[in-house]
Amino acid sequence: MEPTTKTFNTAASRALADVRLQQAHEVVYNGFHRARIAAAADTDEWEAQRTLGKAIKDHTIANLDYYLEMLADNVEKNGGNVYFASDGEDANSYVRKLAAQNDVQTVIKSKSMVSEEMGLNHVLETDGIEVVETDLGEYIIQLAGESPYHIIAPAIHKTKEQVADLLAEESNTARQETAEQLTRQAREMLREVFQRADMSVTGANFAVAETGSIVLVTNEGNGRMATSMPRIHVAAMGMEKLIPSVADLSAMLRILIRSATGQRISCYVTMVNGPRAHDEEDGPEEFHLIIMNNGRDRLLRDESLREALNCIRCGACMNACPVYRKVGGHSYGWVYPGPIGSIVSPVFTGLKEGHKLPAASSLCGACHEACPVKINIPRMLLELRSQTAQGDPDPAQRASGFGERMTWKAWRQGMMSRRRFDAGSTVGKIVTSPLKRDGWLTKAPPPVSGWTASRDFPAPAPKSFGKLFAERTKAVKDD
Amino acid sequence: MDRKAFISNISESLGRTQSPASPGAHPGRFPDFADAESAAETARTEAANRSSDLLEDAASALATTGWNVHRAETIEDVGDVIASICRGIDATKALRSGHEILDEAQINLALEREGVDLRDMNLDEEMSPDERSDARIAHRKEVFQTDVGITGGDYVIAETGTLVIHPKKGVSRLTSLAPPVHIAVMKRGQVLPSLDELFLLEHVDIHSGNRHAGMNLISGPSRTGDIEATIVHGIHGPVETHIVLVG
Repeated sequence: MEPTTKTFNTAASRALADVRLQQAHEVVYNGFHRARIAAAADTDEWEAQRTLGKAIKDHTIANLDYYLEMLADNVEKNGGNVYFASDGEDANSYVRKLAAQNDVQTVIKSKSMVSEEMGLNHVLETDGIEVVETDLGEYIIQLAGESPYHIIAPAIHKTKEQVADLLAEESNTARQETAEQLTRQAREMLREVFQRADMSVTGANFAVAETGSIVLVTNEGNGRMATSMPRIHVAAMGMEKLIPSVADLSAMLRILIRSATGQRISCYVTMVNGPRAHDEEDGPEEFHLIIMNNGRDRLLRDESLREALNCIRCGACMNACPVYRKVGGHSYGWVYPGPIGSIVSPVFTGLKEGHKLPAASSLCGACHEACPVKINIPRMLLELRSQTAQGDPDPAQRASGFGERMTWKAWRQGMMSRRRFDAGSTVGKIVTSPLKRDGWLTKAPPPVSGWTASRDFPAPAPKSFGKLFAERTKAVKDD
Repeated sequence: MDRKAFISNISESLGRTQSPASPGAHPGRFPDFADAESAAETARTEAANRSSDLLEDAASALATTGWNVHRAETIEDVGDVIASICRGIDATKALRSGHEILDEAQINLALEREGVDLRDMNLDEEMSPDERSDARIAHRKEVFQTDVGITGGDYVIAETGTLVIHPKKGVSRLTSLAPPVHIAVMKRGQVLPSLDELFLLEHVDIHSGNRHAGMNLISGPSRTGDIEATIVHGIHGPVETHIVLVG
């Protein structure tokens, strides 16, 4: 997927003016966010589970090289294949080759954010292969030609009427009305595809290093179809998505699912330990695991940002975020929206492209509070703001301009001396006096016009506090 | 890209030249396999000792996750319960797994009396590779035209209202997935208190060489909320799920 993080401001303004989207955001908040809080309250030792989850992820990421080798060895021991992909293009070329070798006509997808990073659908379609998303939300999005709005609820912004049009047009059958009828219609359409698909591409909610397993969490059952019907199963994962042991799964699944939808457990959790056994009746003959880097090593390298790799992609930070709930998922301009997206996207695209994302936060801390593995997102947003101003040693990647940096340098000098501060405030009073209306500055000229476009600034007082203080102290003394 | 280069890039990003020989103490519940083994033993004994209580806990949790829960006092009662579920949904074609509990319950007889065409899907050891492949294709067609899939299972999880099934020979992945109705038969003694015990036992089993190609956790009917957040059952998997608890 081509990132469009640069246009955050215009995309956000558009979303803010869209009444339908604002209603969808309410659903995210009232549905998922409240359900998560209730589920947490209902779980024994919730805090202990979070602490354990964080410890497991910290340990895994600190030993990522060790555990990835273990995972790869065990997948191969189980009869599967492993491919390490440096980026999306590398991963795509592996899938293309595999499809060509096996004369694959139809690929079914079961929700995979990594394949969104890869832009896999487009690439396979170019090769003349039919690609069908099978998560209902993703299917709707695919028919609409859009990208997912939310990592858990990709089509939350679509109305029933829009869905009805899309399904009727695609299937050439009667237009349905209720959510129930539309779901039945999609069931029939997708069952037909399941039966002729040669290959499936899924994500992996977790990979288990010690056993070479992957785990899929779904409510719909498409993850199970994808691991039962086609001859070849390909799972694509980001290189951080692993945990050491099967015994870790109970805590990890609890915090993932309860944070994502507030359910105690999703309808289906599917563990895959490789291709089917030789005497099994169904299941894929081949299993391939793609482990993708795609810029994740930049997070690993930077110790102040490494924690972002603990993310288990539950979406809780988005649901909790007051900014996400207004600007919506598409404004963020890449695969992962919301608070965690504001960290991973700018690191992926470079700060010059993505620096607006870490700035679009009130630092209220709701994401940190909601995160099941306690990722300190606000701390990292501040870190990225600081890197935006000065951190990147490559000046071409520095997002702040020369003028801006000089302004802040001058500000710092001014604030460090009483004399310069007083002189500065006198100059400020003189400069702003023509703009003063009833004690407020309501319309400033560029480059600060942006500030007064949506709010007023109090005009400097006729006499500064410093001056008044000096005068009154003198008056008291004179008495 | 080359595996070696990929891994050494990660080592380098972590500030070292190669993977560590050991990752240090794992912070999970069972850093030591011997501990896991003895804990698994305790869990099995506990599950047996508390089987009646756990069955009651399971019954209420299963109902919460959307299962239709049926109780049978003895294994002899199961056939009638299944026949009556089939009658309720006008089932004419059913598919069963090879789980032993279904033989114990003699469901073949009960469904024959009910006039339901019950099939299983067994790959005969004697079949040639071509015959096996044909049988697999036939099964995949048939399972989508079946009204009800009947299975046993390995565990029920009381914490979450979950049925656990390992796919294996005789236990097709699709029997519990493709037909619109799934009926499972489980008995007292198969209930584990929580996900902790399940993944502990799985951990120990896999390390002891008892590994299956996978494991399915099933918690009620298939569901989606992708159209205006309205919950609808039966998008890809069953619309309706029944579980018969024996004992």
